[in-house]
Amino acid sequence: MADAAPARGGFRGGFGARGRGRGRGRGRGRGRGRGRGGKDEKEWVPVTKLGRLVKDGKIKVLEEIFLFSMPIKEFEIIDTFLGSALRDDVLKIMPVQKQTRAGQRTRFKAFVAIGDSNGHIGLGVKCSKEVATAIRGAIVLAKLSIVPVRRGYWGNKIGKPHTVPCKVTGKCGSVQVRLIPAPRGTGIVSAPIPKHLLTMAGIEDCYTSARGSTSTLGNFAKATYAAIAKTYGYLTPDLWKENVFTMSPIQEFTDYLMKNHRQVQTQQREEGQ
Amino acid sequence: MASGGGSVPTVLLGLEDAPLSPAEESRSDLTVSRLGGRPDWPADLAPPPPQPVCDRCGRPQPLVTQIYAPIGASAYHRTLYLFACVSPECANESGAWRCLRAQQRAAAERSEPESTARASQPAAAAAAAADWLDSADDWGDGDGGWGDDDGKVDNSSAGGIDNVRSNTGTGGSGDNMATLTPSLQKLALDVDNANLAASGDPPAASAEVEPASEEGVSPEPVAPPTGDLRALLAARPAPPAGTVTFRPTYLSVIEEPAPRAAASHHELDLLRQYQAREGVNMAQLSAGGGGGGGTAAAAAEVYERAAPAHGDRLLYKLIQRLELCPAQVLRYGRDGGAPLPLAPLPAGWAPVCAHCGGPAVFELQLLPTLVSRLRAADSQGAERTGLLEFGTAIVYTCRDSCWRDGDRPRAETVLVQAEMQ
Repeated sequence: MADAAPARGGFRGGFGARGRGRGRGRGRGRGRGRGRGGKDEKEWVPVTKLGRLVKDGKIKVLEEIFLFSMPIKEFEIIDTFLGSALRDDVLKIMPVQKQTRAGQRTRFKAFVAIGDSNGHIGLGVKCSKEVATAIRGAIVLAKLSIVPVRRGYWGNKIGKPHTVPCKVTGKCGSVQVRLIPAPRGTGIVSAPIPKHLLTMAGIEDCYTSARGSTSTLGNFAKATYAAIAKTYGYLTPDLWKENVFTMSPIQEFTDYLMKNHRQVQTQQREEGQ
Repeated sequence: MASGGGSVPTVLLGLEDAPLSPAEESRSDLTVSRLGGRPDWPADLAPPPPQPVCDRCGRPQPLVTQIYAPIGASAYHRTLYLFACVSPECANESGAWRCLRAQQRAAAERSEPESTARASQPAAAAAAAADWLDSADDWGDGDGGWGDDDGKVDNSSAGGIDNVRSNTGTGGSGDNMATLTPSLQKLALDVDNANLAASGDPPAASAEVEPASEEGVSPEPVAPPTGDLRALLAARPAPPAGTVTFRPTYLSVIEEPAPRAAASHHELDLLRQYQAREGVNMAQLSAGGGGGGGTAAAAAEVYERAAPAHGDRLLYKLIQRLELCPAQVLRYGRDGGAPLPLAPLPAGWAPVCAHCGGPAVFELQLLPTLVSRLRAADSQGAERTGLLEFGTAIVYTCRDSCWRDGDRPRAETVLVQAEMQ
């Protein structure tokens, strides 16, 4: 750098290496308006437009965001809606090794599942040098991956929905997990990992069937999560009329585009020759 | 990896501070860093520059922020002024922003350069002393060493094979047999991922629905959406007809805090519950991991890059950095800092100074957290935030900060990135 001895831009009361405490410029000595170490510092300041709308209370229910398929990029959005109802749980912490010339380096991989037992489920995986950091990172990722869970009735449509709405299969690596609707009162018939996830999702009765190397916990959990997430991922006949889809611009101006498209094609052919 | 063994460059953060009273506003000068208000040009600039207008629509541009940032032992006061257009059509456009740099020779500051040089030497020495520790910590969280080396050491389950190769390559023939055996013992077959294409990434999950074959199973009814989220997202507050001025507030400057090492109560609780349930403890895990790396269960799990479900990695990284200090609105990193972009920088992006032709370096970056902090009156006269919308604004300034006495304020490069939907 062309700068002289102070390698950091030094200065007298603004930005730079010195003057940090007097960042407010010369001649101003009074204390900070808002306490630096106070609660204000850790309050959530939204970074995305969706976050700003949520913070201002313009969105009433989390379902609205899901119904419009908007990606949720800040986990505080989930906290605002589900907050205390959310329960997180560490599924597994395992050491992961990296071979280096100096020997083996161990990192910890944490699997965290999060859900409110009433229609929302998330799964997060994070590796880190320290266990606590891995858990914290996995909780954030789990919140970001929260999806709504559609439930259904087996037989009589009385009471609340209690089982999966159809047979779904989730696949990850060599593991395949199949969820099958079950009558009320069956409970969840499965191995511990899917049972944990299904309970957190709010599904009360379900038969499951698993194939593949289910001892690979990561793949097993991800396959179950994918299967549960898929319950909302398909369109049943009762949804055909619900959403009024606005015509996409392509549809609206199809005739216009057809004419122009033909023109461009002929131009290209001419240029090519 | 961190650049050449040197310390990690310090990034300074700007936080919104108390508002200025009208008396303070009149007393404010070019050495005050603040948001909003009217620009304080250097006193010797006559006539004072007019309010800039937007290149795209011709509206006058209000001052977004004024940053006092002299460089090193330079004898100049140096201030950057950032202006932006508030029309909804000009949102997120680099052409609607303008950065001007003005410098003023500082009188009676002659003695300062020597004292600053002396003061900075112990600081530099202290920094150098701390350097050797920094480089020892060569893997960061999710990027840097581990992720980059993925190409060299593939799956840790198959890591044994790589080791064998490197051992036979480097060692003499006599050493091979001794080093081969333990490495061979660590070889394990990656059964679960065997049928997938060899890659460092963990397998992705997928799911499918079976066509309904059972009668009597019915899904729960779904309520249609009550509000129109798309309209809400597209809505922009209408700016007033006349000139807009943002409410002036001071900017306070702090160094970026180090990542906190302490674990919160919640994480420790979760860890304790897990340990009680599984009947293991952390010491056992680390020891078990170090010694018994050859077991199939441990070898089957590979390192996974943290990938957020929404897929926007750059925003995820930005949010992680912001977590160190959520109240920050501005990041200053002229001495070696790098911006945190929302989208990849354009290929071959090498800004140059418009005046001297020399290269321009990254100086500061405005963060999206600023959008909900800038207050101004809208067309109805009510004071509200969100009038100026942007993702991030990255400012590049002349590396040599070219300036001659008597110059008019010079334009610098601003790159504005929109928030990705």
